[in-house]
Amino acid sequence: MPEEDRRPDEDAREEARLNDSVAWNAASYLISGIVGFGLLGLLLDRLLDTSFLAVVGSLGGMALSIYYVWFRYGSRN
Amino acid sequence: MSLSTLATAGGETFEAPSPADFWQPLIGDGAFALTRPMVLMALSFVIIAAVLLATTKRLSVVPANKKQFAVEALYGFVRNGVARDIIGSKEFLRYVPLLFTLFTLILVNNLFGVIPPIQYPTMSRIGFPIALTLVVFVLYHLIGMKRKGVGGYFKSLMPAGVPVFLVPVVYLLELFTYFVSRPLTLAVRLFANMFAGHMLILVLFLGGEHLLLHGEGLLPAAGVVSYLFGLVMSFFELLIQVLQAYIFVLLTATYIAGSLADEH
Repeated sequence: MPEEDRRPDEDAREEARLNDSVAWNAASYLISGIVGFGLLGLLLDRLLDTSFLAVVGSLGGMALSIYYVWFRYGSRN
Repeated sequence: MSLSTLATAGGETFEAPSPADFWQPLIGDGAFALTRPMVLMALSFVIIAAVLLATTKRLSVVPANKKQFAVEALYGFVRNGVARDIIGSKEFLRYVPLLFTLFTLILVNNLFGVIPPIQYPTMSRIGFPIALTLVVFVLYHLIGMKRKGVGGYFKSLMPAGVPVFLVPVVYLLELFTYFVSRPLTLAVRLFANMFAGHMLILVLFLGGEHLLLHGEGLLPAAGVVSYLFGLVMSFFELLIQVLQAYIFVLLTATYIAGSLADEH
């Protein structure tokens, strides 16, 4: 593999770019939390004939996804 | 339609552009019509192929002309700036052709949105982003399954260190993210940016024209302002178009990198 000579600041730039891409990834986790668990709640609502699980699901999912984004990207180093 | 129809003066009504305006069949109608974005997609392929072939025909190690230099800079950007930095210097070369193809294809098709006389962003029809996203979606799952085995791949979705009582819900979250959110956001982000941006420009220019030609009193002046805003937004669109092409390949690279990584 051709390994070009890298300037010292190359690593820092690489790190910054990786962090940027992580920020775009976080969005899909947040959407998963709200929409995914919201839909799950809605489904349970239909099955159990209740009407509060969709809200619980989407709020709980939101909390979970925020925690998880912090866990994945915020807590290490 | 009553909301989007605005009466100004003398019985002239302004019909605001609607999503239906993006449906432009050229030959035939219905599901098998040949539409304007289809022709543009083919045109973009011809343009990209012609430019790349013409500029790389007589290659020299030190770029002999500006065109070769420009194409090399673009290629270098995708190769080093996206693929190598994100996938890592060990395995990135295999994926450079795909990333470069995606980048140039999306970039040219996006730029069509502001280039006269084409002025139609292909990606504002959601079928095109969906097709590109499907390629990426299938690819990163296949890479992961090939690398870790089907069972191992599904096991690897779960990172280590999550508190035990959260494991089931976090796993659900990961599954939903990998199989629904990721492809959904990838396709919809590109589509919605192109669609909304083009719609905005349409409203500003068509509305400006209507105010200028049919407005009474001070309204033609507002039409001029609308035109100026349209111009400003066109330049803004240019920025968004390049940015969206970049984000699409950036995310593709991070998904591939995630599937290649041993530890999730």
